[in-house]
Amino acid sequence: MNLQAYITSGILELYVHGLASPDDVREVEAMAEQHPEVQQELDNIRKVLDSYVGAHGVQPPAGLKEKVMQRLDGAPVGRPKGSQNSEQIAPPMRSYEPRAPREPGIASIATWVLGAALLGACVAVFLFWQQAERADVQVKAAQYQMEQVRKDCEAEKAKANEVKEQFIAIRHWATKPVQMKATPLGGDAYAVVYWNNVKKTTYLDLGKLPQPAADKQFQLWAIVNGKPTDMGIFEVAPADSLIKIDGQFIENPQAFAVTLEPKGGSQSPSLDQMWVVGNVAKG
Amino acid sequence: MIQETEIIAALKEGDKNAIGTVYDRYGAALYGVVLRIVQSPEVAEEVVQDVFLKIYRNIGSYDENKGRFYTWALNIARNSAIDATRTSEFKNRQKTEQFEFVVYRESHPAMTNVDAIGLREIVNKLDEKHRKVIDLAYFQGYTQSEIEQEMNIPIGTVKTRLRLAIKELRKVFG
Repeated sequence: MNLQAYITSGILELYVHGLASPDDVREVEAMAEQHPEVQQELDNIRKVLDSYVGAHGVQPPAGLKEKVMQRLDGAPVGRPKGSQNSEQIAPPMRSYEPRAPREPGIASIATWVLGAALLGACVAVFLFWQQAERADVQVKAAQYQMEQVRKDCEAEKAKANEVKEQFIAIRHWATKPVQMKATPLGGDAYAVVYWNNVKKTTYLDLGKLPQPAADKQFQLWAIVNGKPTDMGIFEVAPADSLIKIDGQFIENPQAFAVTLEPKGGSQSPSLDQMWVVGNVAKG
Repeated sequence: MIQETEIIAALKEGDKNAIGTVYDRYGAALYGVVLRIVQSPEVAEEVVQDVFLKIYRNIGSYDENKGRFYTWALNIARNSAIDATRTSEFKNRQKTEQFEFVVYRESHPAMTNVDAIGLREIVNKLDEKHRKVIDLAYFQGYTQSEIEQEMNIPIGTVKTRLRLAIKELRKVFG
């Protein structure tokens, strides 16, 4: 198996989530040892999972830190066994040893001042770091949301353009509406074709066509010299009831009709499945 | 700035203050994971105390070459929380507390960081079925076959969904 295929197979994700079988675990670990790419991918997955988990973080209740610290008192040392005697439960933090002070008073004040200043600086730097990290997550979140908004905006723009185009096409002086009325089969269905011999465009207003069964689709036909010409199948989308009929423009239709066909459409219309039909007015 | 390596070195020397630093840095994440699993603030508080005790006691077994400290600590939190849910005491308790927790959560809508930093929306954008695999595996400690049963999908699909979920998350965190 090539390395890339192995990396993208999903086994590494399985491993990181602790779901891999013992055999798989051995295999992944061997692969990671041999191939730095595998190791890197593992690290990446882990980092992403950790971030996701971290995003579920919750501010712990006040006082929990104190409880945690209290529990530590009396806890055995965190050192590996045998490396230290038990007296040194909490060795002091590394501290600055003042150099042989000549004047003890001033020196110890200086030490305190220096210590306090260092501590202050450490706290400040830590707080700053923490804030910077939080800000980074916020920026990423904002960027992501921005990207979503931009996409939404583009989708809206495209939709608005389409509506504008439809509006222009239908208002055009040469546009002829062809009302298609229901056959006995069609019940109260109707639909309208907007046919424009100058702009060479055809629009179909779905009017009141029902949603067909899953294995059926409506198909639009133009009748030219008494013969049906296929104008394509279409979906009944309630939210978007005007659709542009692409494909070849029909020059001299006498009528338009819609039939219900098996999914994918038919070569020639099933005449007993005609739902709506309408003649094109002459002139 | 306190480097993580310094914190770990201090922990390995048995420095209790270092645990305070770890708490400040990762307390919210660890508490969040535990709370997510045990679903009870009261139980979570106890488990979190155990978690820090375990971190302190077992730091000797943490190997920096094998992974990040954060991952290691998260694992301890996760395992401790899952263990806690398996005790019989917990099971009895859960019945009476579940309702309380729901009320608590509803009345503290800004309780999680996810809300605070607007990540909830992102997390919600994850396909539900992708997120569920992570949640079952990570937060609930399900095994492969338990996930297959719970979601009624073969292992191949579990793999695919995990991969897609991580891919989605990479866009946000990567």
